Amino acid sequence: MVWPRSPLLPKPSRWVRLVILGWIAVTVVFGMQILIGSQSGRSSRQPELVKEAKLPGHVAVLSGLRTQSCSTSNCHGSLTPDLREDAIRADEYFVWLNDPHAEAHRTLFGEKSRAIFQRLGLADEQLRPLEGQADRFHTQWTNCLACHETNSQLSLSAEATDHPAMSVAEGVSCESCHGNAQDWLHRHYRPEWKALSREEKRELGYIPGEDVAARTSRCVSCHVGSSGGDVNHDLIAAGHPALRFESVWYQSRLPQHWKPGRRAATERIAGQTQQPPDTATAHPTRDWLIGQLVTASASLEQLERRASGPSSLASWPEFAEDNCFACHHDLIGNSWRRDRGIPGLAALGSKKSRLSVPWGNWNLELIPILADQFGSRESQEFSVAFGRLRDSFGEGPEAVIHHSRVARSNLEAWLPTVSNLSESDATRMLQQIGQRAPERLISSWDRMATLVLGFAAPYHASHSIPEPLKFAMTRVRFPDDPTAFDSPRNFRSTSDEQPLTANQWIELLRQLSELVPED
Amino acid sequence: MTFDNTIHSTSDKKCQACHPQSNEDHLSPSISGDARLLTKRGEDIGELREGRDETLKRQLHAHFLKLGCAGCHQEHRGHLHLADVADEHCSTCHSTIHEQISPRRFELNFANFGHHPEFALWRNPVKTTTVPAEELRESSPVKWEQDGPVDRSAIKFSHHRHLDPKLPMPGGKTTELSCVDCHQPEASGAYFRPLTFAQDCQRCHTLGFPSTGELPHSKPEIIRGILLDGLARNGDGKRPLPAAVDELGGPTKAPIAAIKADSDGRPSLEALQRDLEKLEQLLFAVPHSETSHERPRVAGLLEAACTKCHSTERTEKAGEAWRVIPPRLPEQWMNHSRFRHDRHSSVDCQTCHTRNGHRMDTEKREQFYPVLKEERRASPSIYASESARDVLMPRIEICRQCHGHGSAPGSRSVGDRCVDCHAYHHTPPTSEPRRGIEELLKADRRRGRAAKDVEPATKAGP
Repeated sequence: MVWPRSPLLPKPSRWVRLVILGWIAVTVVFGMQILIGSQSGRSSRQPELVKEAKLPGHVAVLSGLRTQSCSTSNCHGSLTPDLREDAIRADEYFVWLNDPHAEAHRTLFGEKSRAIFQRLGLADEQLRPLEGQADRFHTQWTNCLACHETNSQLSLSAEATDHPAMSVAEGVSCESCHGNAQDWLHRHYRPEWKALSREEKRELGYIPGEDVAARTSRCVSCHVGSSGGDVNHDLIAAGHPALRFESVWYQSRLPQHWKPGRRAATERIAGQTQQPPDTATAHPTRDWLIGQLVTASASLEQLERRASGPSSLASWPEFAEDNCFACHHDLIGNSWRRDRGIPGLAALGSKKSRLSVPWGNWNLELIPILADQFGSRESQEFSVAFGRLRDSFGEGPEAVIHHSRVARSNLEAWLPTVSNLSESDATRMLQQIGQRAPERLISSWDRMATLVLGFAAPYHASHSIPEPLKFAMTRVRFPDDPTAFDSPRNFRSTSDEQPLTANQWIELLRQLSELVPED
Repeated sequence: MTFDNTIHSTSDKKCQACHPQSNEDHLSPSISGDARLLTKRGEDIGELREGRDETLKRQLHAHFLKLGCAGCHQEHRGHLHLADVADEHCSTCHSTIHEQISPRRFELNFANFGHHPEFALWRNPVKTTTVPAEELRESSPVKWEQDGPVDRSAIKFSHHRHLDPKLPMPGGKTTELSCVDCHQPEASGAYFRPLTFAQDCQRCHTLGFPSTGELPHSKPEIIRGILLDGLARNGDGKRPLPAAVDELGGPTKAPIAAIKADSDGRPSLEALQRDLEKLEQLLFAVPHSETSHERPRVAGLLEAACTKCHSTERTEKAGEAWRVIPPRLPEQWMNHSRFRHDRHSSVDCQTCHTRNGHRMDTEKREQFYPVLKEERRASPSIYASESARDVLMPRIEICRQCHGHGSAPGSRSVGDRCVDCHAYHHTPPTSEPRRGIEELLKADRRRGRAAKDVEPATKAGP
């Protein structure tokens, strides 16, 4: 399978190059903003909170029990795995050690991370805070630790420093995903634990891994952002990769410290069912859909936090909310999107709106289309609310926060109906999207790449990928060409390879829609 | 060796016949301003003590002259062993010791167990008695914090957790530990043998990696050596380390991955070097474990593992970013007294050993599990002890549940005499090893030879 390790995420150095090359475009857009109307719309004035309501953050308050509490050799740190079908692996800790999440904290000390701190003007090449920048450094460091060392409230030893967590030890560990274990750690190995319902376990703080929505909500706390950890435009400009999360695809890249069929095997051995073992990929398209909703919800929450500023991390306007390639694109070339024009430009002057950076990012580009296609009352309500949110950007941050909260509330009402969807219904819905609104889909790389990942969801564990899908995955790959700083390769190509025309994309979508994944 | 009091019964004047080392003040070296303190604490303290001790020495000397040797050493009068003397024998001095000795140097001023002060472990502040307060604090197994004494063991351990009646075991099973599963009596039955990781912990807390197999509980340098040795053996291609193979089809496990072979089938030097660097990074976090306080640092896997039970601290030593703070697990608490655990076997351990020295309520073990509820966190029960900071030794109130109830004279049922717990004028423990009779004799012989050696030179003098 030709599918590179990080096909959608460029190397940070590439981003730096992208930023440098795109500065002209940014300058132009800024200039247009100034000319067209800084009085209205997305004022740089820091807004007051619309109301006192505290925005729910996703940062988990952990008990401080690090992997040491779980990795006892009698529990999850056995030197040898338990091969019984209905038993846990028992060596989960050692599998996790090979997981990229276990390396998250060490990443902070790498060459690229040190370069980010240097570019931010906070530290030298050895991560020593620059003179006079200690407080800013520690603010940013804490922001990093929120996701790179989720147990960072614990320091290894009491150091002679005013700042905690100067010692980091284990990256993203057990509690980060499985929930604060304070109230369930000593219950979950007892026989009576198995008798508890999912809700009862959730009340104890346990996040059931088999609940896709619950599981994904933990992922997005870092892979989208949280109240304590925000990858904003400053950080991306300094070299941090932009966050483009897709739950099913990401999870397929992880070493499995779980046994996908254990639950079913337990039931089968207990004689409760004759069904074959279930697998984690039994509902890949539905899980992809759930992931889209949960990710969008987290993104809206982040939008509210950013618009609520000021804080040490949030500012408004926050360019990370916007479509990257609205600014970061070549000013010359033969892009068919330039021929098509900029959506919204025609409305200039007709309403309150003005020309601004088009709002919408990786996490939110596809969600209104999914809502329209889903067609339930909840999804329709979300669709209306989302449209109002989009229009509210000209009315200031207070309006954005208000409409975002409404949209998020509708989204949460929609989610349970998606969770109950069968896999075949989810697949059918995806196919209909590809057939019914191709023009809308191909106008944005974020949208198209997200959709292709949806089509690819059933094939992540497979070694045989159908040809049109393989081709589409290649085409939405982030450019690996140092001369190309636009979005995906062949959305605007600078290589010898010619970009696909709009009609070719539509035809490709049609082919993808006709794929019928094997059971 | 036993001493027959009947044979050796004698009068005071003959004491020195057998006890030539008794000085005329007849005072414990720790009272008399001695060389031990001078060498241990420095001349300042020695000089300081010199002045104060003169008064004390004079007072005691006068008192001992009045009593005579046999006033205290009753065992030499005949049939009495020291362990069998009545409280009055001690209270002759100790009931009025404040009046006899000034300035106040003794905490104790009592006539019997009913008047015995709280055990020194639970008293604060530490006062200078026969030993300077500073030295007592240093040698004490506890230190005082705002809420009371805390154990200075430098170990992280939860009795609550380990006494869970459903402690997890491999294969989804559970077990129930009792105290003696770890605290095993020494041969005499009086105390317990020292705890060791290998003997008491490693059965459940295996150390190592799938690719290395089990590793010993040892210093980081030793672990480093073992792993490097493993790499080297892997390098010669003869005795490869056990490969980290996931039998469930998952990824193989660090830290020692299978070394890729060269085209000739032998592991390459470059591959070895690469693995070594990876290993160092993973386990020891070099070079990112700098000791600068300004700079964040990353802890290696080994340090993270050690800190499950140990505390670590940074060091300035070259090539060593951190070290484990050595645990302080006293082999005997309350070392001014003696105790026989085997003679108390009729009561449960937790009757006396509670998490704050107070008497335990009638709470059942199950009430503390599976999760320690808020209202039970303050319980004196050892089942509520979540931290090794808890001082799990009894206060005197626990002893008094059985002892000191005015047992009838002559009754031996529940002893409460001074000598039931105390040795005669027990001297504080010193860091110097105790010398047996043979060593004393040898030392005397050496002194004698030295004196002979010196003699001719003296004769040859001018």
